[in-house]
Amino acid sequence: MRYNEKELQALSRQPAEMAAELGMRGPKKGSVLKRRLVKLVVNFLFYFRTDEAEPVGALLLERCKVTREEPGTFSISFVEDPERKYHFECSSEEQCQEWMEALRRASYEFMRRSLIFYRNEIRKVTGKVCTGLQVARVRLWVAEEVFWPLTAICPPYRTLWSSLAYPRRPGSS
Amino acid sequence: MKLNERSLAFYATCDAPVDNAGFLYKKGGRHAAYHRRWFVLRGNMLFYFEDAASREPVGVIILEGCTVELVEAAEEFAFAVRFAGTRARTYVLAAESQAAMEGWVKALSRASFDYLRLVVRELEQQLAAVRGAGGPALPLPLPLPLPLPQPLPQPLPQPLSPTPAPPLPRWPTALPPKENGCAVWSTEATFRPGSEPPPPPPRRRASAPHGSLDLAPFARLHECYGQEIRALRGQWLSSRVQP
Repeated sequence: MRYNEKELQALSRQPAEMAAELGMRGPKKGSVLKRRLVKLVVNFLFYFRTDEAEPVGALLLERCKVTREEPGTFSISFVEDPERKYHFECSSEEQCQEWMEALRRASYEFMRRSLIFYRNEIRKVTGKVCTGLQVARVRLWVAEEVFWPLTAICPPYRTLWSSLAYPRRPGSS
Repeated sequence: MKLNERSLAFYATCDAPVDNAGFLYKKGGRHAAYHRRWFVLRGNMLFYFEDAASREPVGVIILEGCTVELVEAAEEFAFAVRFAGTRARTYVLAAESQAAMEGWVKALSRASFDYLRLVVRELEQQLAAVRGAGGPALPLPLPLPLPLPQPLPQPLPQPLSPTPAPPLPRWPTALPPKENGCAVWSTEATFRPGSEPPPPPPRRRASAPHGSLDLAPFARLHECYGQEIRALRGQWLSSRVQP
């Protein structure tokens, strides 16, 4: 499969959510544990030889399973082949836990579910659908959709409407 | 660079939500011809297949750190996915209609993981804000005979009864905060592409003269205006008591 390797390499140079030197063992039988610099960027896990700038490889973290192995060790496997595991050895139990949690949250699908979750929770509390984009747009929408209709039956809301639609510092007249 | 291509190919054809799909023409290289391919956008991965029935993608374009722009090209309905960097490639694609092109440009612009993470963080803050400020007895929006600027996204609750000093319906009380790790996910199984924020109201165009409030987090805005609402409502209610 063709892929834009140059862009993937550029991505590996971006600021990472997490980066550490871990012991890594490939999925093939008889693989040896090697020291690798492991770097989590968006939904990719890059692994570098400790003295090199270009990654040896990358793992796309979608449809993957993060499993605890021996103490301080976890593995990543993929849904379509659960026996094929990439092993990672950490220097402490805390580090292992930290990595496992970060990797579980590192997929696009997880982010998508979070978005749906927060949107629903906000809707439950406020009765309004809000998708969390620019604050200004949200404020204007509240002004027009919530307060403007209220100004007809409760004139004081006009002040609120105009202060949202034409903002000035609250408290000033 | 090694890549878990088998998993990538599996991700291309699994039952995860698809953000967009359709035929696009893809320009082969600098002076190459266009090839018609079946494109599937899933997350921040743009896969392309020989045709819609293919089991394995021909290739994938990883959509992090790119911009999507309209381009002048011999082909109609053309647009480009452009990456930063001196020797970075620009992918020129062409749709088969204006609507398809617009749909793709919109979907691809929002496809990056970075962007999604930004939106989720913003919502996280907003949820904390509305839960924190939740509980006050605010009247719910009423269905009115006035023509509204935009159709409201939700069906409205019951109107107030006409009796004097009616008990006003309360906002739903704030839910107890839950740990993210054990929160119950929505039963919504699919992500609906095209569920977008309500468009900005048409009459409002001028930007605010006071920049600081524009940049205030939603939580603070909500709190400030909430206080004003309560004060105004208090005044109005007390003024209505005297007939």
